[in-house]
Amino acid sequence: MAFGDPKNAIEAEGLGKAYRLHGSPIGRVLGALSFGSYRSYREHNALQDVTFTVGRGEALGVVGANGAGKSTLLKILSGTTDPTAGRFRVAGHVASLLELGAGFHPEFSGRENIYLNGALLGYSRKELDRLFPVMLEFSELGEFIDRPLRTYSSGMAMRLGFSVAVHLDPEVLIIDEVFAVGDMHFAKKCADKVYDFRRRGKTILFCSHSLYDVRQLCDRAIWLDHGKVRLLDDAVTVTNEYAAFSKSLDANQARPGEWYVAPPKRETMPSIDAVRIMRMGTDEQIYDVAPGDAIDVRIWYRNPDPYNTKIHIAVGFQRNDSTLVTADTTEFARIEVPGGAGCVTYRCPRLILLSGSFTVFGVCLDEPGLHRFDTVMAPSNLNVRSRTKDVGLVLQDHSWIVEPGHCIPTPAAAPSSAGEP
Amino acid sequence: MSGVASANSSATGSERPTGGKETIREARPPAGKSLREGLIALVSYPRMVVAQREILSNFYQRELRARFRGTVLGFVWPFVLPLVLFLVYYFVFAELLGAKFGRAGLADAAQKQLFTVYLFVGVVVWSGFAESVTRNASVILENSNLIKKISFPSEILPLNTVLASVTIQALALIAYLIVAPQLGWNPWGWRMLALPVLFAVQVAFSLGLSLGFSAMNVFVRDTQPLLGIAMTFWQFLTPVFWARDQVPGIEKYSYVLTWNPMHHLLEGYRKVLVNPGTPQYRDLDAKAGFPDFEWPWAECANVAAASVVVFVLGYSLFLASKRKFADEL
Repeated sequence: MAFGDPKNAIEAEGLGKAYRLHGSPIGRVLGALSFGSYRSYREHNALQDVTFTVGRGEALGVVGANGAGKSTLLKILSGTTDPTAGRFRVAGHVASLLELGAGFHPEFSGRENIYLNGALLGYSRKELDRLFPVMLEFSELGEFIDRPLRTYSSGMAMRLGFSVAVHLDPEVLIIDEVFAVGDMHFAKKCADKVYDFRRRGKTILFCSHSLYDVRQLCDRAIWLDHGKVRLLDDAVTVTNEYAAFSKSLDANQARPGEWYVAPPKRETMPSIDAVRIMRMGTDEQIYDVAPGDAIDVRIWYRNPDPYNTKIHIAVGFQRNDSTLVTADTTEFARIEVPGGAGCVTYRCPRLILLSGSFTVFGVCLDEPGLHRFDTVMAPSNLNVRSRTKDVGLVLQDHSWIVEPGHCIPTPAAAPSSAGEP
Repeated sequence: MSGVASANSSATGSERPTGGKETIREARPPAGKSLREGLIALVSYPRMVVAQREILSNFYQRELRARFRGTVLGFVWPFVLPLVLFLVYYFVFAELLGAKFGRAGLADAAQKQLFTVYLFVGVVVWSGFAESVTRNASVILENSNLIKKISFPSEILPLNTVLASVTIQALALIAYLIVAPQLGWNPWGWRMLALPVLFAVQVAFSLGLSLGFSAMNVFVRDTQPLLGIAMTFWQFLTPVFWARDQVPGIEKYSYVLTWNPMHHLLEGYRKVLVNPGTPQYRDLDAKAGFPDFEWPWAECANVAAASVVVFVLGYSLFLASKRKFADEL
């Protein structure tokens, strides 16, 4: 990899960041006066030897546990803090959405903050005068635009931040967990903007705990673990590996899974009325089943504005320890969901789940599958009681073949076909 | 100290230059390179200011508005404040303590009047200077939300405070220039041309100190209270409330004045604004023996020399620690 390749928007080479944890202010003064011969601090490596490139127009996801160095990496790349090892290159203007209200002056009004941020990204006052009404409209702040930022609610600060970042049209957009804030209606607007940004060939660096969002938005992803790169591959592989790793870590700490996020509804937004589980092809609701049974999951949805908003429907099965067993959407299957109101059936002619209690839920997604409008659970858990001795999560389609003698020679070792660099 | 390689100077066009900007940063550049880049950064402060003029003007306008926003008197405050201070000082020093200018052969009334004006100019200039430096000690901390979270040109913040304080000082001096002729005092004339030069050297000197102290205060928060005490000391060591001529044994301590750039600065302002040299004043007391008006170039040169030293030290400290601000705040 040649450093400085114009095809790349971001290049990082051996990036590292060591924070100095000072014991006392006196020690720091002595350290400064003695030109480093007196040392009173411990070093904490927040990031170590991180190397990657992001091509122009590519979206890279960043996943990892809390404290894995995700935020440090994004901070270095947005230029607020310096690496203590390695080097990086970012081509073009960068806008970053790191935290709520980041980059805004709390005493400045919304309007003043817009002009300030615009000036920082190299915009002239004239250009900003042109862009200002667009940003104001998008942010839906109304007359609050002239109040100081410290009087804003977190939702308002987020709306302003998002509006500024996307409308200033940077070449590189760095986002750290922002989809989570704001109401339903605005979250959808943001998702649309980000998707649009992506379509126009801009570069995105996206950090999120929502693996689903990472998978939908990003081409590739990087998994950071204790400041080091654990895996760098396509987004699906990385999110799957990371999910598997996290599950093994907290198998017993059942907390609401990411699919459960159920933000407040809005009348004008697509929604789900009901989710029911029925015996296949009948109207009989059934929640106690056995492996091999045939069931339908029916989802009644409503899409009031199908011309402007196309939707997809998803169904998920989650075991009570919050393991997502399976989920599928009409988007994966490339099936169009008609507008207005309707019912979608997820037909499962042979249930392969083994004993356990499963939450079944229906999700209504936007067209790119990025934003969840609504999530509704079936009124009762699906309780599977197995009548065979099979153990585990699922009953795989299988058969046993027994060969007598040594007619098949034992192969030398497993061929390494999976996982290319 | 390797800087950000960003090259977009033509921000005046209607379209923003795209693709022109590239950021490259390295962790530990070689010592020689870092020294060279540091020196370049040191001398290119004016260029940086020009490049960031939009942001500076944003902050400047805001700062001036914020200082008086919500007050009933609004922009009358910069005129009221020095006037009140002046009246208090005048009452205490000239009336109660009977302080006179101490210049031989001058009538009592003239002595008093002269001292009043002398005091006024001193107080206005000193508070303009002191305010900009003490306010600046915390300027980086106050703007942590910007510095911590986005790539922000923090160098312009001390300059902004200095410019705002100097603006308020200029308003007070304008008030003086309007009021003085009513008292039979006429400082108007070609000599006003020296004022911009005096302001320029004052800004340069205040800026150097401000850059240094604002950076220091990020790492050692004791800087700010210590600076408050130091400024009080400095104020009394500078002839703000007293005049050189009033102190009999001043020659013994003349080094205090010689090595005090603020003494030279005040002297410069007073040469222009206080020393009469106008026919009107001469009529007041013909035997006064006042010096004729002199241009304050020697004083300006002294302050300018001090400014260079202070700026190099202060800005070096700032540049060396600037990249650690985000981690410290």
